Amino acid sequence: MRCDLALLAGLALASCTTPQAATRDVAGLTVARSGVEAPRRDPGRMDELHPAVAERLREPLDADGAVSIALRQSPELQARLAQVDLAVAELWSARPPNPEVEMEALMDGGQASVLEVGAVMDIGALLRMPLMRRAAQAQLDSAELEAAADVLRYAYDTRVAFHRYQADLQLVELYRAAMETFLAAWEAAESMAEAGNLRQLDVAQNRAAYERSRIDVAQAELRALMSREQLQVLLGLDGRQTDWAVIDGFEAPGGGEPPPAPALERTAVDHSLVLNAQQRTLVAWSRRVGVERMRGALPEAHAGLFAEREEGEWSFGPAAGVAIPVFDQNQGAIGETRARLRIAQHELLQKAIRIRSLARRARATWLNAAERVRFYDETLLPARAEVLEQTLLQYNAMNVGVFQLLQARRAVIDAARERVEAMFDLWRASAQVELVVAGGEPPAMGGPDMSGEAMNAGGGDGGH
Amino acid sequence: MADTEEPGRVDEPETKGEKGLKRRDFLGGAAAIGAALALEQRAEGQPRATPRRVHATEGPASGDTDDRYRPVVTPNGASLPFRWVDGVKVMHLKAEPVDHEFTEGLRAECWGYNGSTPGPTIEAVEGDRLRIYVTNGLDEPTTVHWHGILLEAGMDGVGGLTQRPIPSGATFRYEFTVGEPGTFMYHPHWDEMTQMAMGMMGMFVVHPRRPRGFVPDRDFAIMLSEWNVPIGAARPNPFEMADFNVLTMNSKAFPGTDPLVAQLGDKVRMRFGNLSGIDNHPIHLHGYSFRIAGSDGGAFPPSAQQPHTTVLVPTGSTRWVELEANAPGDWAMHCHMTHHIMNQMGHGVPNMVGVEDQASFDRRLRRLVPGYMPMGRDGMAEMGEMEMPQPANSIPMRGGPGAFGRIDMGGMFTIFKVRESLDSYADPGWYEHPEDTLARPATAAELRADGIEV
Repeated sequence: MRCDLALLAGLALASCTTPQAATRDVAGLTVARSGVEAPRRDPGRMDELHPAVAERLREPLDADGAVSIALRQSPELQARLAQVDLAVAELWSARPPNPEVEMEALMDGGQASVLEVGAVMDIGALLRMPLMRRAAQAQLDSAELEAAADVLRYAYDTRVAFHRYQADLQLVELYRAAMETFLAAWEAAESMAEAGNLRQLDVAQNRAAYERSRIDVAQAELRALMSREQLQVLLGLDGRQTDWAVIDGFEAPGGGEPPPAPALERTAVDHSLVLNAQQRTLVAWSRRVGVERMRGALPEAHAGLFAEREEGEWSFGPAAGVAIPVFDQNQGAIGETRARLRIAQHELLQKAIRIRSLARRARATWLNAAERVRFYDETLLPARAEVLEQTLLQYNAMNVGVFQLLQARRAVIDAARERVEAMFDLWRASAQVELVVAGGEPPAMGGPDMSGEAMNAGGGDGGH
Repeated sequence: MADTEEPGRVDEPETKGEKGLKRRDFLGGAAAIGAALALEQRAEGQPRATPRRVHATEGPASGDTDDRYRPVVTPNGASLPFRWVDGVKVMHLKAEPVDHEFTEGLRAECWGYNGSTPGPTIEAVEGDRLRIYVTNGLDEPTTVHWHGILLEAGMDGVGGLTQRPIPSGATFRYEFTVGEPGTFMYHPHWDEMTQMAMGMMGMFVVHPRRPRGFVPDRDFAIMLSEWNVPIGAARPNPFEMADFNVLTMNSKAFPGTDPLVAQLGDKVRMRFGNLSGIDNHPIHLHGYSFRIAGSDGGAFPPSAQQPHTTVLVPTGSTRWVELEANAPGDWAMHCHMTHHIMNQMGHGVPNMVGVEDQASFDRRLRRLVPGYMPMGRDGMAEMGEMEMPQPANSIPMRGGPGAFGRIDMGGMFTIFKVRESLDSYADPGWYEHPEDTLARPATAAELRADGIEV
């Protein structure tokens, strides 16, 4: 009996230990994987700028700076990190059951003639406790891994949104330049008409082309505004912190070609936080199956002490009770947890397939975008520049007029605009490769188009 | 020129009297130059296909000479060599691609005969029996039509009508007797639009057997033609049917045209042929009144020869004019269709004349297109002197150097240079005007004296 009590006490005490601070694990994971850190912040103090954020905002932002701000300042990300606490709570709930104390008295003339006192514990629950706790720990591991994956994804989204905004700023300038060519053509037509050389029809046509180009500029400006707001939300900056700028230029990302596809796939799978999380979920369900099995084998078992006082004399003795699982062996709960285990197993396989595919896609997109940027830089832009140069020579030879000269200039601008989109694709693909190597998961295939127009229409890569 | 009845007979040359320029002089000089060149070209017993070159203002060079007539001068060109064979004048034309320079700065791969466009001038005397071999060095068939020559139908050179076209690589024989003297032409009559637009044409001169009346000291032959050579391109575009941007005399655009040189007192004949795609050319000679003496239909009777300063040469036709070089100077001679004395520029460009200088779009364009310069606001005369990059292989700017700066013309323009005394008919340089015969700025005193207010 003494031995049994010691065992019960030991089980109970072991189950009362405090869970590790989950946020430290998340931060450790993200720092180790990609060097980014998302410190947990007190919601009551989120209204204040993080000192590091305030420092960053004083200078034009680069992509790393934007990511750093977002991970410190975004309430959205903090909310996601706080979800880890739910798993912590589950772990806390895996505690020993409380003992039950029961007392009965028989009254005789205002005094208790017989007094019975019993104290029992649910031995079955106590026996299941270590396994339940291990299942909860596995679930917490999974939650931490998923949170770390979300941090990386958030950093990726911020990075992509940053480059989208950079791209849109470039596009605004290019659309303005194109508009200026139309304006010059209109002005030239007007001057020629004033000199008596051109029809009003030509003037009207050139004016109409210019007015149309103003719409293009307005739309480009709106897209830039929308992508800025997209980034603003991801940065977690409120209305008091809208006066920030990004660095000028939009040059190609550094770093070389991604590793070959097989190697990249292996790295993506090996490092995948999502797969690791799913594996831990699998473990948690496996342990829950064990818990339910135990519950089926020993549905109810109580043990304790019983004391009785009768005619002033106390007598003591053990108390025990057990349910015999003749009819209900907990098959329902066991079946459910087994089904969830199987679901988790299939999901693990599917996620592995998806991550491999995402890795291949990221690499292919990188190669394609890099080739397009190279093509624009080495072939199309020089070709259009050559056309402009030759058109200028033909203009000098008075074989073409200012309108054709301006048309050739617009063709250069058009190519430059297309190059901006190719450059954005390259930056995005580069971020995707970095993300899969770090263990994160880029947006799934078949998702919303991530072109500037689509993103700013409400969907897209940069949002959550 | 003395008459002769026998082919191949060499007469004594005429002299120019006190002016001292003898025909033997230039024939001898030409022969000396020709002999050196003949070594590389001429096969034994065969007429040479490629004419020998001498200075184009001096006269033709030939292996065999024909002293029954004073040879024509084909500026920038030459006459077709020949050889007498059993009383027949044998010649050889080879149709072939030609690397041709219109003037400095513009070369193109054209088609021509015997290495040139136009092909060498054919010269004969009325009644001559000619045997002309035509070798086709092109990649497509061709024929040769002897434009204006009255001959047997089977020798008329019309593909499909009077003969099978000459296949690529083949040689056909044409043989006929030339009749009335005059100015004629030769050109293909197979794929005419392409082949003539590429430069295949030549002058054909028949001299009188017994010259009477006007016997020229200087006899010039000039083929007028028009081309489309896109600016910066290097081959004429034969598919252009209306917009021609290179106008030429003997396939040369000014300043590439050789001047016509004469000595004071020379009797001068100028023969014009026109094988332009669509245009007629009113050729105007400054400083002279001339008589239009004939066409490819024959000589005009003296009673029908009116004085003119401009002779309209319709396309597909010839005209010749005669004058006496009695006014020394450098005299312009040009087509009077003003866009025919342009070079390549000005085609398809909007009219900028009168547009305000430094307009707002100029400033904007300078930002958008570095190197942009406003042009054509005050007319196009200044364009020839503007220093700005030009497309390779193009002559968009008009004109060439003159005695008083730049001559602001191009295309179908040349200079008739008449001097009181010449050592040779080589280009004598610019005319030195006698004192007080030259336009100059008016002085204030002169304006006041004549009551002119400006």
